[in-house]
Amino acid sequence: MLEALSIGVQVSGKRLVQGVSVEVPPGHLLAVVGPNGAGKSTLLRVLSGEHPPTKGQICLNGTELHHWSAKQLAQMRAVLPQNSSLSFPFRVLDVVLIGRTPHLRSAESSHDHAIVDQALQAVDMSEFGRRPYTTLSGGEKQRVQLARVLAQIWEESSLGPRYLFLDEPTNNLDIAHQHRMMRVASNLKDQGVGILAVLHDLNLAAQYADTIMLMQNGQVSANGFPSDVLTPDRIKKVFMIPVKVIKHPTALCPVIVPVP
Amino acid sequence: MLAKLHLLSPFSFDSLRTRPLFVLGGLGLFLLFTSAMGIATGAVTVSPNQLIAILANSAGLDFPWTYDARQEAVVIAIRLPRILLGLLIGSGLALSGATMQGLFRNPLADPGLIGISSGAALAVTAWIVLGGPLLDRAGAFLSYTSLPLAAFIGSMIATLLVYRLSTQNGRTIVSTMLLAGIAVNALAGAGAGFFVLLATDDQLRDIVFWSLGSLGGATWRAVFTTVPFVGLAILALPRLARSLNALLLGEAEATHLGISIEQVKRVIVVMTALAVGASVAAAGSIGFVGLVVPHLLRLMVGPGHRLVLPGSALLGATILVGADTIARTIIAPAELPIGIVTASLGAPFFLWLLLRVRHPGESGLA
Repeated sequence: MLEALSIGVQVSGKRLVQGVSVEVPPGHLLAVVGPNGAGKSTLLRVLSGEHPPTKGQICLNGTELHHWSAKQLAQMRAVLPQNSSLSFPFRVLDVVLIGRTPHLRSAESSHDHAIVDQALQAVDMSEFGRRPYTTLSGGEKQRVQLARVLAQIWEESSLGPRYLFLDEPTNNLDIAHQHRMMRVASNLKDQGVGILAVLHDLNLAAQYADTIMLMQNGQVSANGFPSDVLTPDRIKKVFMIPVKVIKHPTALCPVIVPVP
Repeated sequence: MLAKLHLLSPFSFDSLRTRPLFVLGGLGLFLLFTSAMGIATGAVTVSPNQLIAILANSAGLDFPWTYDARQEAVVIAIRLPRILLGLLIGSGLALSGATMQGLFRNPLADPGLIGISSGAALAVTAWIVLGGPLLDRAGAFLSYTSLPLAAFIGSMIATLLVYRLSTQNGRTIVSTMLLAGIAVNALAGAGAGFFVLLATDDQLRDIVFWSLGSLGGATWRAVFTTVPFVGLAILALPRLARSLNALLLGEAEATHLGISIEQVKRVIVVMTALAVGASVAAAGSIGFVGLVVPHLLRLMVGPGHRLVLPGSALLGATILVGADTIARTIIAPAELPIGIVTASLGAPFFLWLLLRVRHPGESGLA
């Protein structure tokens, strides 16, 4: 379980996150939504251990985050960044193989290569294995990065359940690959991986998340089931846009439609 | 800014990449060949057979090929230490350049650029001027070992200064680091100029001779004082290959992959200061090796550091030994400073690299 208690983050006098408490149990997908500058990415950075919080306490699998070593953390949680700045012409296979780093003692084995192949298959990028990463489109790069973090937490860890942090993972993706990305996340969730995803698309969040946390000005505005959180009143208050919430024709989730 | 230089490898080198031993073995053979050529060439010529016989004889073995005492003296006392020193310096500089470029994710990162070399140069100049009177009394051993030590301290101070200036809350900002390097370079240059003004005529000659960059002073003693410094770096830096690969994704991504970035940075800072400091002390500032060799390696084997690091060490050694052979034979009996050779080979190559990036369809260097 990932548990964070009254997290506060202050950077040069400015409060970016204030009194946020989060729980991500194994096999749960929590979507964090909110307007630009609400503190979503900051919260993700703190929860993933990239930055220490100014206030509050974070526990991963029962142990405080800073008591885990960097390598131990890397063996049970992976982070997909908003955009990756890799500008060296690695082959796609080699980029995904970098994801195996925390599990390697010496050279990588055929087992690691098999995981790389499966991870590429999971994101629909099998044929791109030998292409130089730098020749890919933005969306293809994003899928390779997803394969890399999948390879990192592909197998169960002896340290406890695994976690995946996704920071706006559907940026740059077409609608088919947006849903494919979220389905990959759902599959991982079914294997017991706890997932925290920062999303901009409220409908993606509504369709795939178990619970949604709505943030505004660094604070939690609402937290709960999609249908409870995504109400027209609350969306109007937080995003300043009038919407109608209708029923999804086939799935049991709300659909948010902006109205003029 | 100039990040496009990474895109230079346009071909797929799959066949080479899947055979790392083939690449490293080839580079190793190339190094052996260049070294043997270097030993054999010069005013006193030595045939390959004779070279083998001389080397075997000093190891206690007997070979049928005959040589005279003059050839043996030249090989053992002059050329062998010179080749070995060139080999150490070349691999140290190229390896330092390769790790710096990886750490900063910037193809222009080079020990010369962020002030490591000029810090070492300032320390050596200061030591020749201020330490000279002390050394006259201290004896030969101290005077030989103190120069690389002074250079190491100088390069460490320069690196730490740049590092401190560009690090906030334990995070290094690369652009600030490059800018701080420019400032440190200017400052060290000014300091060195000041000490040159203070120098006596003899000291001035020492400084000028040393600053031109030359392996002419190579002796066994110089080899033995350089080995521990550069040797440590050659042993330590290639172990960082995996961490550097992860770092190419970004510092945050490397942290998420379990790399202790600050520890990697510390090792790189200390080890490159050791290697560059000892190199500068032994042969002056030799430019372009640390910049160009890693680029050549990336063109040959791709960006993976598992091959780029050991490959840079081998190719750097080869290029420096080759350049030194040119330097001492091209205008024989006089000698060209090796810095002139590496710069006149390296600078056009670097310009060629820059021009290649600007082919149609690329937005240039903006």
